[in-house]
Amino acid sequence: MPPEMLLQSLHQQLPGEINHSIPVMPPAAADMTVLERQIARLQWRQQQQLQPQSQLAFFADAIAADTLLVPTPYSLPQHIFPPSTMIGLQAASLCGGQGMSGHDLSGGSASAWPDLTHYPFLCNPGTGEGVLGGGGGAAISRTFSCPPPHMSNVESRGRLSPPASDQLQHAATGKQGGAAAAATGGKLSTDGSRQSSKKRKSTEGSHEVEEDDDKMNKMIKVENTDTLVEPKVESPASTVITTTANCCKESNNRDSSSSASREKKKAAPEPSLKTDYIHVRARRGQATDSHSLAERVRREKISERMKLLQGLVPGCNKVTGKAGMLDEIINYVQSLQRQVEFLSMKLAAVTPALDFNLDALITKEMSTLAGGCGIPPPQMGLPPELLGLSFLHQFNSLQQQAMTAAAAAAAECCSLPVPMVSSCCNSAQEALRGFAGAAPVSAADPDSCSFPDSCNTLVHPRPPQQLTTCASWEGELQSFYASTMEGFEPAGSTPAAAVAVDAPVAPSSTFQPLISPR
Amino acid sequence: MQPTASFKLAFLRHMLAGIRLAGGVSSAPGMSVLERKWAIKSAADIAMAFARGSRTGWSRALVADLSGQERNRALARSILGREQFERLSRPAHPPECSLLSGSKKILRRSSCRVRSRIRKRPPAPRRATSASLLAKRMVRKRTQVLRRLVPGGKALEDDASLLEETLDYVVFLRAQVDLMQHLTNALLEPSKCRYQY
Repeated sequence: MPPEMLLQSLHQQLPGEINHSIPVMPPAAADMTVLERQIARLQWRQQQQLQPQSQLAFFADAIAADTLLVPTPYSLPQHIFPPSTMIGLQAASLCGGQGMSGHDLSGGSASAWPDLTHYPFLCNPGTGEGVLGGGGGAAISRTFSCPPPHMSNVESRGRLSPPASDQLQHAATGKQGGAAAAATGGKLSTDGSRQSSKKRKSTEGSHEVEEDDDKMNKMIKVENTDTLVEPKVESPASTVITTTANCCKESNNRDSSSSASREKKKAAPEPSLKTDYIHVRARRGQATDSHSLAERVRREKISERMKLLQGLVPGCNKVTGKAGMLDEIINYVQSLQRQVEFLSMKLAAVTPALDFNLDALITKEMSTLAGGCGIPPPQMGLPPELLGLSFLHQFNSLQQQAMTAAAAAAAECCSLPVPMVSSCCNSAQEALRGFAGAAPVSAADPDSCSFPDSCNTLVHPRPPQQLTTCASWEGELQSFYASTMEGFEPAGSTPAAAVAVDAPVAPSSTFQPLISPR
Repeated sequence: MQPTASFKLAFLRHMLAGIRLAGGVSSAPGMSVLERKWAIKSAADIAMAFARGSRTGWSRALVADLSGQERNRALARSILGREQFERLSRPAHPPECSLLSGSKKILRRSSCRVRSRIRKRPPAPRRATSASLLAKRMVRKRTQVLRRLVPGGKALEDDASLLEETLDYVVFLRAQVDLMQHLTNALLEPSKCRYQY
């Protein structure tokens, strides 16, 4: 792959990405499908990988501030990054500089961009999720099956860190060049690289490398080797998402087929990230008529979903072949459905006790789920000083509406004054500690029952910050609940988002007689 | 991949409401364990489908299937409320989908026939790929099984959307199993849970 092509593709991707200054994961909407969420996450990651381009400009700027002539236009949202990713970004950008220097050293005509290959370790260092493969990989090869030969090439070049001092000189100037090139705002082309190389030539004689820089480079090298051990490189090509539904339109197909044939001639990477049509790349010997192209698009779609399912279904990644994977998926779904049957049977066996226990149970489950505190309505049979969730109030009123028999109780519930707010952290924490005892999750096996996320954290008293997040979360839920249950809202029910602990904290021993099995 | 927290809460809420209703029903004498189990299971399914919302095909199909039976309809309506119930129980696909599937079958059969007729002309290269044909058949069979498992899967046309629905369904089914396990644990051994910390 010629480096001009690489540059071109990067150039086409970048201008949109650079403008993103804040790497905030888009919030998962309630009605997004899993696939969409996954895709959004992947895109977000890709953006984050591309983000350090601007970071790179900044850090290179910071290093070679005195020599840099071009002002960097980026304002950097450093404070927004969580510290761990910040470190990662720093390392990445610095390593990026290093990789660039190596590349410049080896005299490649592509100037500033091969540093992309150093980013795989950067994405999500804290979460430890499946780490995407190199951004370079994602940027260079946009089809599943083509191995990017250039990437490994660049990577090897990048890892080759120059030990000698004169080479380090090159490195520093390379950084400058990189900064300059990045500062031109992603308008990088071969012209830009030439300019930067000119600049490099002009500055090469005048500037010496400081010893700090030397040390820093070595440190970076160490960091690099440390972090390079970690990444599980997991399908960089899965970022290549063939999304749209209108892919099968004739015009699009014609377009893509023409582009495919063009690319076939040039053997170029297909560059665009546009989503309104799909570039399908046909390699040598592959058909380019519209039918086979559509078929290929369909197959890629299917294989992408299969890959996601593979991550989801346990034991599926050991199986090769589509039939085997489908077998695993079928088995898993069946086992889950049978489990539901079994559990409902079990629940049904307990149901006579359920009538008595459900009240306490509701309180308990809700509390473990939401982690917030409130007052349960008194008609549930609980003493009013017991802690429950505030929205239980609404919940119960809903139930009473549903079961028309208990209308009087509902009226009582509605007329009940909800105790008002005093969300002091002490009592809240005490309350939480009290609830930790009643938490139905056994702390011994947090993996097996992972349903309420907050359960495991509930065992330890929370810091107040988390409590506030809980409160806001609860508020969201309130609004959600209110919006879904509009028709059932009794007039007297309070907007209970503000309700917190007021009553004295119940000792957990009061739970005991209520929850006791039959 | 975990479902969102709001999903969990909504699910739990509706599940408990459903169980409560089912328990209320069960308090009437003469309800066997099986009936109760069935009520609880349908309550759990309805709760899951409702918490998922009307966006995905499987949730709509689940509610539609469950409310097809008369017994469930009252339960579903009382859990969901009328508005939600109407919205969810709208069939995921127009009612002629059964007709459609029948015609699809006919189409498939005829296309098979046509294909076989075509196949006769160049016999040699087709014979060579019998292994791939076998693999294709295997995949097709399993896809049909999967279609039966995922609610609303029969109405889905292509494999890609089926897999997408499966993806979604598996995530939330797992959440359902988790929750029910949880409930059972809490009901059966509350004292054990209590002394855990």
